[in-house]
Amino acid sequence: MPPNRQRNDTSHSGDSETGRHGPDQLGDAYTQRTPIVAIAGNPNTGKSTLFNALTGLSQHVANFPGVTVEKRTGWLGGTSEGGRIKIVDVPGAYSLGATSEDEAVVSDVLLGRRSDVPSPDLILVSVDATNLARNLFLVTQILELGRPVVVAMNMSDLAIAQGIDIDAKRLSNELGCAVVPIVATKQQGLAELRSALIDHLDADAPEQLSMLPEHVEAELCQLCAAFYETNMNKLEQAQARMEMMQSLLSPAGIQEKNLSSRWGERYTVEITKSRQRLGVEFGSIVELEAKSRYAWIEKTIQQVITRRQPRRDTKTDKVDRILTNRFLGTAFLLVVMSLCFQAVYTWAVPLMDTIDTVFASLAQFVRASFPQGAFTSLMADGVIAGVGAVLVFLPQILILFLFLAILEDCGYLARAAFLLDRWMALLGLNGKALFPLLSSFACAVPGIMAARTIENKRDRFVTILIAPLMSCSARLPVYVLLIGALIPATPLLGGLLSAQAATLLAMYLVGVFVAIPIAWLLKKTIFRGEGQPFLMELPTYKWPSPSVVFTRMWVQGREFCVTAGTIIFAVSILIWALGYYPHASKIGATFEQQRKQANTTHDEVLAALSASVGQTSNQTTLRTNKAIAASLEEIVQIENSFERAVQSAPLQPHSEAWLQARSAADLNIEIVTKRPMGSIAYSLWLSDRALTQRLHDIDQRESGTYLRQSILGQMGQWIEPVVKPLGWDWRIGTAALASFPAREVFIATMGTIYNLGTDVDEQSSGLRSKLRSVTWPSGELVYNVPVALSVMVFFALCCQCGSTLAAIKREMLLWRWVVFTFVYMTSLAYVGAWATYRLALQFV
Amino acid sequence: MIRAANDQLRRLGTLASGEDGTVAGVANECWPGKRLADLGFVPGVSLTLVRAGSPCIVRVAGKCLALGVGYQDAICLRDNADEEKA
Repeated sequence: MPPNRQRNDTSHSGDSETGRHGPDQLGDAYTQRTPIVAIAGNPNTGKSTLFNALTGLSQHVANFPGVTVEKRTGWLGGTSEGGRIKIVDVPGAYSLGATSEDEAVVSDVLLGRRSDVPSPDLILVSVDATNLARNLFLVTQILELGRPVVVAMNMSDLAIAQGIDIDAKRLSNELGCAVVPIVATKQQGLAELRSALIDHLDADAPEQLSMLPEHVEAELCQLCAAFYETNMNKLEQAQARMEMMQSLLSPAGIQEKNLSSRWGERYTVEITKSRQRLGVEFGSIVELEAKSRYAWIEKTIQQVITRRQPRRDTKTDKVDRILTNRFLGTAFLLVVMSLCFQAVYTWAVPLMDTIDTVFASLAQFVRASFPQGAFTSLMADGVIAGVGAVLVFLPQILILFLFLAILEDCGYLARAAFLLDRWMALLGLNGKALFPLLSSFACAVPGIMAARTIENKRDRFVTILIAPLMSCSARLPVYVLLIGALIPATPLLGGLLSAQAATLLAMYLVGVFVAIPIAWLLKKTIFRGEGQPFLMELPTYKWPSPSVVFTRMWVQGREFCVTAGTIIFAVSILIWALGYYPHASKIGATFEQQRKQANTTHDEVLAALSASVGQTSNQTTLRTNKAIAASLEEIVQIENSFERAVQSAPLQPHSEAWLQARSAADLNIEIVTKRPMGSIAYSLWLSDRALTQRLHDIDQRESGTYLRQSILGQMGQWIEPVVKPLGWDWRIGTAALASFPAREVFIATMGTIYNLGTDVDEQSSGLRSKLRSVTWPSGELVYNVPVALSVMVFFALCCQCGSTLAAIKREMLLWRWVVFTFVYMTSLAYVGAWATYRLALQFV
Repeated sequence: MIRAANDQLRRLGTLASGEDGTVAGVANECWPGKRLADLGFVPGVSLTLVRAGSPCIVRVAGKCLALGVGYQDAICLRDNADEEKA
């Protein structure tokens, strides 16, 4: 591109300034504005694939500020350094006549009416060659924007396969702009498209085709003259006309709202008069634009398309006969969802275990190589554990988004919304609420923001209020930890599903099944009224594009690490500090004293035993005595095999089977004690065991005391009476309390709580095995199935996320909704956890 | 198309699965109507109701759309007799 390119845009001279403030604005804004190409098009025309193919990995994803529409920008690949061209992907739309704020982004960007996006120098329209008629509607609107236009005719291979012959040259002549046939998925035609983009950047805007009847054009002219400045250039005139057209022909639409807020009462009066004049002559005003444009399109298409074969049932039609069937399709949907969750669980676990192991050994290494103290503890239990706590999420987030992206890109998600709309309708919501709610399974924050696609305010508010009940990815680690540690892997349904996967699925369903009556109640009480009808295209099935799927995964993973990750990491450190300090050295001294005492007692017993063996005997010879050593060895073996039997079965202590095994072991030991020196060996073994137990006990009490005296522990104990009815001990209460700002920290808190003691047992390196061994002071295990279920249900229903509350404030504007959400979810969680615990106790 | 006349026309929702129809116009003069019109539900366009119910699946101009009850009632169809005359 020539460096001294003349810009034909004078209407928005502020663009180059505002452009420089954006985070994704690079390069030569000082000397000359970077040329910008906007990609527009109907949904499902392969726009994302085209964008990926043109920009490669240079893209940057953000939200359009103020609305929750994704804004993707990137650099056109294959151009030289001096002539870089920026590409902005605008959301898919069928028409420039917007009906929601999200849709308005499209026309605003293309008209250059947004201060955060520089107005485009050229508009690239992606059209689906197999469905030219509907796609050309948007094209004819875009042709009237006063900018150069290039049409990328995507999926041209599919059109040929379907027997549709399109004369691209003829179409180009009719439209008055370049038309390039491409196959974005196969990278065909991209070089031609690239050079067409560069060639047309400085081209003139296409000739106005004037499809509307003269009367309408005259009205538009009159209105524009009345409200806009008179000395506008060609581009400004075109933009003003389009703005006015969408306002005039779309009563109660977004554009009318914008213009009447710009010009006030005078505008409302004028436009009503104008509509009355048109209405008398042409009937339904909303059909005006469509009638004229489609008439032109129909005429044009007959000239450019030769359909060699009549339309017959496509593969999509055949597949849809089953997949959109109310019974078979719904059954298939359930299978897909089960498979999804099963895969998230089974695929992620090995990866998570690897991450766990790596970070555990790293922490071990730090503990071993540095002297004991606050710094080592901070590094091992704070920093390393914190980073591990962030990264351990990644496998599941990536796998979940792999599935969602595949389902969305192949076209199945639209069918899922279609099938679910009936059920959503029962709650008074529409099928579109599925997407915000589905996104909420990853994270409620984007889900709440995605609710903006629902035009009806009541539907939107109800969706927002129930979105945090969907099990987000931050709850998943809680489920995975507790299920892995405490739910047996019993096969169900003939091995199709394990009890663990079934519990995971149940946890996801808890939120959904609680959300149903809540939504129903909200619709019956606070948000009464009619909902918005459902409208969604069911796109042709296709193989998902790897670039789209992997970009989605990459972006989600990165977003998680950057935003959630930093919070999780910071809270990990904070929780470590709260659990470590004040760490009074007095406590350590007390327990050191107790350890000495235990060793002394042990020594005394050994001395007495040596005395009974003989004068010359001492502690060392006691153990080297052949007879004693042999018997001791035997006793150890008997006890070990008893332990193994108990663990592998597993046997409940003091159950009948346990007593049987115990008495068998006792009998064997009795035989040993009958031998010479046998009883001495047995006494020796008993004393050794007593010492080990006592020392372990002291270690546990020491770490327990440190923690109880820590700031965190004191907070936890203070709330123990409150959480006791849920079956929790103060540690779970503490971890749940610490999780209120962000539930992600539950695992980190639990880990910190159980690692703080200096007791490092090789057997209990993982948190899972630790959980299985924690006991109440009475010796009973803290964690069993009812407690695990109670904790999981609490987490499933509780609003433990500051970011969610912030998002609700942003979307619903009033603080009372934030308070409402927090109160209703927290009470629901407490009652739900209590009921689950009581109910589970009856069955276990 | 005048509103009063529309009310006597057959609505999309009355078609059975697999039945074809021709669009006479959209009924209400507010934005959902504009949206349907822009999507190609303009007078003279033929469509097929692939699957009745709510939402229904309708094929228009070679593509399938899922439409809720509100939209089904907004789309008016021509009488078969009218069609033959035209």
